[in-house]
Amino acid sequence: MSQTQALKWLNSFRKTAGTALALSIGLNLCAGILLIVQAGALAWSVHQVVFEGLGLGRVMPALWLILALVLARAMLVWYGSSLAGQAAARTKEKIRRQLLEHLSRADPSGLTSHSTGQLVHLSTDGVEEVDGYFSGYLPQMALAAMLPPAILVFILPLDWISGLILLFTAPFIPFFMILIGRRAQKLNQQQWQKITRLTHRFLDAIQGLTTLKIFNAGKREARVVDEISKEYGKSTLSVLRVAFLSALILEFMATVSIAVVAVIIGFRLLWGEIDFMAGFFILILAPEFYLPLRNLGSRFHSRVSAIAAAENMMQLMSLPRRRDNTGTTIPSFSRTRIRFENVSFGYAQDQEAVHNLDFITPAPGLTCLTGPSGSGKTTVLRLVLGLVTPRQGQIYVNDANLSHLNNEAWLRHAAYLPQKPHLLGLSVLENIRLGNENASAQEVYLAAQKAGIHQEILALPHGYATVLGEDGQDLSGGQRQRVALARAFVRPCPLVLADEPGAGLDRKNRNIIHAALLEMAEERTVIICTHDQDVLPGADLVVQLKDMPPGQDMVQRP
Amino acid sequence: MKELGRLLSIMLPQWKWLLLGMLCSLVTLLANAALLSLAAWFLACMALAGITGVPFNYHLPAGGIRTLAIVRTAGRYAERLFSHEATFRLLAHMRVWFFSRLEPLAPAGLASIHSGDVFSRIKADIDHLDQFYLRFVLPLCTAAAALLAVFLFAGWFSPALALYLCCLWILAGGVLPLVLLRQGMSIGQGQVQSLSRMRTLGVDLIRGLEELVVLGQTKSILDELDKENKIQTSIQARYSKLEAWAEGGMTLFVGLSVWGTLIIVIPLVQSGKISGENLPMLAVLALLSFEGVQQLPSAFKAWGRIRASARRLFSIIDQNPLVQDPPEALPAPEQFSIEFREVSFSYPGRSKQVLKSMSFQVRFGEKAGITGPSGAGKTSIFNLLLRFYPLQQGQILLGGRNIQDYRAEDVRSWTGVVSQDCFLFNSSIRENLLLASPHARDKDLWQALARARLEDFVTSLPDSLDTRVGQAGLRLSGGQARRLCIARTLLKDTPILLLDEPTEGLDKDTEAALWDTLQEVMAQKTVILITHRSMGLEYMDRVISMD
Repeated sequence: MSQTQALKWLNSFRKTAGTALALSIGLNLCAGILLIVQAGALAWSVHQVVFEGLGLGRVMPALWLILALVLARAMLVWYGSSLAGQAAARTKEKIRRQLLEHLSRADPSGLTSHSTGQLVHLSTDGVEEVDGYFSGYLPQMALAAMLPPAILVFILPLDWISGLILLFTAPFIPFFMILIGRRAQKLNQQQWQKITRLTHRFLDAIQGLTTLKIFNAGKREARVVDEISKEYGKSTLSVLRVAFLSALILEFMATVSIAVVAVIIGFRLLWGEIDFMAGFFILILAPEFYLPLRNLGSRFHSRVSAIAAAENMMQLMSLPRRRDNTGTTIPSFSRTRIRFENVSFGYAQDQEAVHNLDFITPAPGLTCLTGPSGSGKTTVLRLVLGLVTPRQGQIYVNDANLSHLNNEAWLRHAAYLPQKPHLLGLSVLENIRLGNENASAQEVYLAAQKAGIHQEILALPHGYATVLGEDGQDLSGGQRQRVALARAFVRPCPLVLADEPGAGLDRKNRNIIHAALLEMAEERTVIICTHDQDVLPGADLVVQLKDMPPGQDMVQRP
Repeated sequence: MKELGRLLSIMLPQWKWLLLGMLCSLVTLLANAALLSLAAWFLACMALAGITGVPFNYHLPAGGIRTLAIVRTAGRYAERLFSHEATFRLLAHMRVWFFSRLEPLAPAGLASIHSGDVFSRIKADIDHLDQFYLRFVLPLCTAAAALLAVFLFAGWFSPALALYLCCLWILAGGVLPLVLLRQGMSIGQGQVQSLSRMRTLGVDLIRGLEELVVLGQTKSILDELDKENKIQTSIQARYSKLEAWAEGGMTLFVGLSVWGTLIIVIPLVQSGKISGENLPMLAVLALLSFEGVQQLPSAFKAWGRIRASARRLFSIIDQNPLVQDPPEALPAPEQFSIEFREVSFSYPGRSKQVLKSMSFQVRFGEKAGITGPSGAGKTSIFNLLLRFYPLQQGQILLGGRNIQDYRAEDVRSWTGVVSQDCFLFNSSIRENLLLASPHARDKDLWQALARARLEDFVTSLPDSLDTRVGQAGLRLSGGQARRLCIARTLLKDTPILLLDEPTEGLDKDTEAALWDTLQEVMAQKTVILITHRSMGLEYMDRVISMD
């Protein structure tokens, strides 16, 4: 993903910042112009006191003006900064929304190759990375373009030599800034990847502490942590050195030219070519002339990191979407007989997960998909759900072609138990009710009883109201599967799909789940992936999937 | 302030770099103030000389101005370089410091914080600690030193002026930021809560996406996220208002400093107590003294974050390790039999007793299977054997001697573990293997891989041993990951082997193949298998039931 694209994408959010940002820039510009007036009043007062011998009383009007200007500027700065912050906050809200919306529309199988943590970070706190670009860099850029010329307008008529020095040194600042900033940007990108990798490594070490201890490798790992942190330091410093160099040149231009201006003005004063008031006025304004440019330089990194973040975000935005919901037929089936006709499908161009598959499920009844791991069992379920479309062949529900059905409406007919069900950070009751929003508490209890989990839920600290921790960690694997099973029971749907139900559970748990699925199969179409010999005798149909060529199971499919 | 002291003491070994950074920073700060103040004084002197015709030795001040400009420029570069160098040294130091204190606590001390959210919090906390020097100590110390210098210099001309400036500095650099910080703190808590809720929802959305799609619930999660998103925005808008107060306040105080200087110094010039050319100099100095003050608000803000993070990290590592080594440890036993005598156990902080008067004996070289339903405390048997948790009741004998008389590390060096949730590090296959035996040669690695029947697979990989296994072993199939763990355990070559449902979650064929491998591995070792199923029990000499 190129940087220009990332920048373009970022700038597409400028509209959101819009008026507030413009107003903020205007206010800061006003404050800058008032500062020029203030410098004039200051120079006049000092001149009058030192060279004309005036007393405090005589210069007091000018001092009152200075005080008024100070108050006015403080208010302008206050309001301007507040507006810029709000504009940035609104922009970030919009970016976050766009990212999250895209995630919710993504194809689940595309997500597994990314780390959940990274995706979550990118779409939540990661967005903060762009804050500086909108609240700092953009307004500063406008100021850097407008304030120095305004100051120059005052200085040039008073002392053209100083004016010219300022004028000629000024362009060097953005020039070097861009020149060196570009290089820093490139380095920053490599840096971002490195930092991500190193951070993962450190977290990995903490998460794997138990394993490390089993191998008595904890102390050795401490050395590795030391090494990678130092490497991180070294590589970051190499980036920073370049960034610092740009700061150095900015600093050099600004500081040395001020020194030159001061010395030149000094001699012109000595020769009586200008008066002290003008000289002092220029001296006070000279640093103010460079300030917006320097501020821009110091905020350049926020542009760099915003672009780097935007590039990562664009990767998220380029995650494949779920297939479009093109089907127009809104189905309403009371029974669902699934028919595969010569169906083939592959995730990648050169491989096939399912090959020429034909079967017709009983409705109601139990269908078992069986075969070694990597033979595409899970993929068949995803095909039935319409999450992926066949490369070849057709799938029918009763006599309707699946690809003509509105997917959202079709999914209302199905309940799905993945191999490792994910329970949300809600109460147990709400988690089960996800299957059917209109279910009464009684219906939920009944479903839980059928799934053999009712008693165990009651034994939880708050019973059905117990809010589950992250990834349902309060429950054992078997309990989690049974909660998901209860969700399927409570869902009024004719089709139930389950991926390896009971795998990884003890006999008791497995028996409960298998019995429950058999019970379901009396009224519904139940399709399960399994390699459990115990279930197969109860099946009305067993679909044997063929083995894939070796080596292909390297990539674990969802 | 306890945290401050502890953080400083952690930093202490790096003091040379830290001091160097501070010195450069101070020199830079003072050079700038001196440059413009000197220039102002120089202009006034030159103007006076021009008017009165009294000769003025301009060589020295003119040279001074040029020198100061160069010192300022070079100082700024050196300051950044040295202070960042110091920071990164500190960063490596702090990570190691934290990690090596965390290590003895695992896993018992970490049991209460075992979740992804907490790990990312640890990461964020450590990142905050990294800023302790650069964002807090450095600006605070340099500002204090620079302001002291300005205070003394101004006081030499007029004590009243020095006091006036000092008051403004305290108001602008201390009172205002601290008041705003207190305001911001209450907002910040709401933000943290909302953010963590957002993260949880995000995890739900991504991990549960497939189910949510089938349930038609993606929209409702998205709506929840949007709600939190809006909360974030309103909180940040409030934040930016506070920030605005800080900026506006700073503008006000800087302006007031010049104004007050004029009010105080002009009468002194009038009465002849201070000569005229010093007035512009003092006015400029008052203005520039705020360069130091301006660093303070962000330093205090950083300190708030750093202290909160330090507290959390300290609270983790301040736990006492549950398992203590004996003062005089026994050497390795001659034979590795294992015996449990009336062992009862419950996890710390939980009331449920997972082991009740458990007794069994496994002779050296014997293979015993322990069965029981899930949740019957089978894993706690291994946790006790590995000395991860202290014994509460009863006795465990290893080679006929009390297990608590050995060093925990020694016990673990005699014990190999293959479990269902074996942890693979997100690094290369080689690095994962070397964990077990850091000095193993490639030949040994290949031998272990061959015995674990993974040799062909690894050979087929384009990067061979250097192939990265991906996050939490994601890129290997379940069977392959398990085999890699077995190879790792083989490399360690221990007399005791603990198998914790080693073939769980694998399909039948893979499972059978894996047992074939394990059977070879188990030869001449004391083996305990815990399982809730019958699989694998046929390879055991004896089965102990926990029902």
